[in-house]
Amino acid sequence: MTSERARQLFDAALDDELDPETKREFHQALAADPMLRDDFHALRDVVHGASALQQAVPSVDLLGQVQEKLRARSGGRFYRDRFSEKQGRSPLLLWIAGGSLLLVLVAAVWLSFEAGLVTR
Amino acid sequence: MIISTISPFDSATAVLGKVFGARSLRLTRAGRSMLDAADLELVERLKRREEAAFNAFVLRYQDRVFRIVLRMLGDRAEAEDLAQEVFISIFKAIDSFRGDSQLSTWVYRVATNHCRNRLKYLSRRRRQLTHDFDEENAADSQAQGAPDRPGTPDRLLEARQTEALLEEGLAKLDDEQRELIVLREVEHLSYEEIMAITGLPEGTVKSRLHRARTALREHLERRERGRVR
Repeated sequence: MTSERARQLFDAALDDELDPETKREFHQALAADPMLRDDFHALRDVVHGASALQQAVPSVDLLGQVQEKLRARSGGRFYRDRFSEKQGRSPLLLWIAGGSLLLVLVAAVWLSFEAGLVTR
Repeated sequence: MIISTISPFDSATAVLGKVFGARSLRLTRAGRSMLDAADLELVERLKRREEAAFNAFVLRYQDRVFRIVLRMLGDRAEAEDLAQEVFISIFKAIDSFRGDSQLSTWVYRVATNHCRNRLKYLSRRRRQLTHDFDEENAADSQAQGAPDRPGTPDRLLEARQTEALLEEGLAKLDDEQRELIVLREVEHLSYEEIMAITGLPEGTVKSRLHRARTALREHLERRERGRVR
């Protein structure tokens, strides 16, 4: 394989698209031509470096602001409940839980009165 | 009563659904085969405008969307704003998703379209791309303190310098080349996905990517020569 042909295959080599025979010839061409090898390695380093850029971006938390914007733009139709949406818990469940707890408390107080434990 | 439940957030099909009592337009049969069961269920819940489903969706994709937008725009504040707009657009337009691609591919497509529009707007306003990460990385390296092993600071410093040069080179690419580098090299998408996102044929994707890689390499070489002097 000529150096010129090998140079044309740089991208295919980086994308691992060469068949085994062509890959073998490609690496032989690199071994025989130091300048070609240096150029390929320089390109490979750029691609690997760009690949590492993915890790360089810190995580971001957009959910709250997206919810605020949706609430504002929908006139309150969506994300009306500001407190329970962070991890996706349904507000209805919270209302049911709160209401049940309140009923239990009221029942406990009423039963206490009935049993004479607490005087009016 | 029906009219009062209709809002600008409803698509035409959703409006018809409300009027005639039918659900919003379902995924096509081919669309269903493209999605796995989890994504299928998520899409159906998103189309019903379930807030819990949308929360999960944002949490799943926010890092990816933000990365793409940040690498395309080069400005953190702009990127945060635009990334939010991407999700709002998706919330409003989810009914148009027919499942003819993976959900992630569609999300990327919406994000890149937003980036292109924003870049056109910014270029009209003649904004320069800025880089926030050099300052952040410098602050991070100072905050980390002394290393445990000898040689580590040099490697870290070199890695960060290379990263800064790459970000600089990325900013100097034209918008189309930068988009391909971000999708292929940074996000590690396949050529099939990139073709689905950009609408470009394979030959065009590969030739532009080749020019982008070469331009990045030349930029790094120029800057390296400048540093050595």
